[in-house]
Amino acid sequence: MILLTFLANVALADPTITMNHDQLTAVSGQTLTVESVVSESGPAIAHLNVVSLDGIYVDLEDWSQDVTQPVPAGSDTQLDWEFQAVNPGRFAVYVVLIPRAGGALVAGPPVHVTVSRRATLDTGGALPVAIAVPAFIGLATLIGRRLPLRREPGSST
Amino acid sequence: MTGTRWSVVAEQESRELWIGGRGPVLVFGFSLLLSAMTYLAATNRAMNFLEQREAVNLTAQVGLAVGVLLTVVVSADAISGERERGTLEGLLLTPVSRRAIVVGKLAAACTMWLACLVVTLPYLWVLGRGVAGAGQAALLTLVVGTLVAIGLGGIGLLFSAWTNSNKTSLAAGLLLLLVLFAPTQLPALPKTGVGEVITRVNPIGSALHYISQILVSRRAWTQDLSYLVAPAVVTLVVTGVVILAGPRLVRLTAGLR
Repeated sequence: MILLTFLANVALADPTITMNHDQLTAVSGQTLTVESVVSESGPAIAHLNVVSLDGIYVDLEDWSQDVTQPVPAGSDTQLDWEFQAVNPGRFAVYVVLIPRAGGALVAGPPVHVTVSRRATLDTGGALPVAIAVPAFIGLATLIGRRLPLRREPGSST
Repeated sequence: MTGTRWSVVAEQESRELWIGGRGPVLVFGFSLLLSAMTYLAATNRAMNFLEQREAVNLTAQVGLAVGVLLTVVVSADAISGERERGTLEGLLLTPVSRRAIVVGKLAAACTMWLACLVVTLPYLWVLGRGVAGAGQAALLTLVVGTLVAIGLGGIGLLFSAWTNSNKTSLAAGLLLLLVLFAPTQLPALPKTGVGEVITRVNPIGSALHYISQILVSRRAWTQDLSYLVAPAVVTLVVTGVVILAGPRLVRLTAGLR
C-alpha cells in the first residue's frame, strides 16, 4: 500500500526544474556551464534551449553540441549543460522536460545571460609578425647555407 | 661516461641539422604556414569570428602538430638515412657507444621541436595579446608538445632503425602521424563514449584536447590531467626502448638481433 502510494505520488506529482543560476554575464566566445535539477519526474528527455531577448537569430548548434539528456524516473536528477556564448546580446537559456509517456511539456526558469562583445584579433599587429618571422628565418637560412661554403677552402688546407 | 658521450653525438647531429642542413629550411616552411594562418585569422572576416582564445588555441595546436611532424621527419632519417648515405660505418668507428649514438640522435631530433616552439611564440603573442592567453599557451605548448615530440620522435627513430630504406622509414612515420591526427579532426569525438576512449589512447588527440580544454574552456591545468596519460606512457615506453635496445638498434643492417 505504501509502495502504491509512493508510485502514485511519483506518477501524479508535477515535475519541477530548478537552475543553479538565474543570471550570468559572459564575453562572446566564453564557455559557460549551468546546472539543472529535475525533481519528481517520470522518464523524460531534458532539452536545453537558447532564445535571444534582442530578436537576433540563435543557431542552437553553435551554442552547444549536447542539447538533450535523458532523465530517469524517480529521484532528483542533476544535469550539467555546457554551452558557448556565441553572439553578443541578451539571452534566456532554459531547460524543457519532454515526458516519454506523453503529457505537457515542463519548462524550467530561464537563466538570463548577458553576453558582451569581445574585441577580435588585431590586424595591424598580425601583419608585421607574419612578414618579419619568415623573413628573419629565411635570411638566417641563407646565411647558414653560405657559411660552410666560405669555410671550405680553409678547412681543406 | 655514456652520459656525456650522448651529448657529444647530440651536439654533432644538431650542428649537421642546423648549419647548412635541412633544419632551417623546414623551420622556414613552418613559419610560412603559421604566418598565413595568423594573417588569415586576424584579417579574414569569416575567420575573424574566432574568439581570441580560440585563435591562440588553433595556433598552439598547429604549432604542436606540425612541430611534432617535423621532429618525426628528422628522427625517421636518423639511422636509415646514415645507412643509405653510407656514413653509418664511420659513425660506428667513433669511440662512442651505440646507446649514446641513438640517445644523441633522439636529442638532436628534438631540437627541431624546440625550434618550432620558438618560432610559434611570436604568433601566440600577437594573437593572444590582452587576454592573458599567450604566456599560458606558450608554457602549455612547451610542456605538452615536448612530451609528445619525445615520444613520437622516438617512434620515428625506431622505424629508422628497423628499416634499411629511408623512404620506408619516413613513410611509416608519416603514416603513423596521419593515423593519429585524423581522429582529431572530428570535433565531437571526445563527447561520445567510444570517442572519448579513442581520444584518450591517442597521444596526439589527447594532448590537443588537453590544450583546448585549458585555453578555450578555461579549465585548471590539473582538472583534465588524465588526458596526458597516453602521451606520458608513450614517451616513457619509447624512451625506455631506445635506451635499453640502443646497442641493438644501431647496426649496419636493419632490424633487432
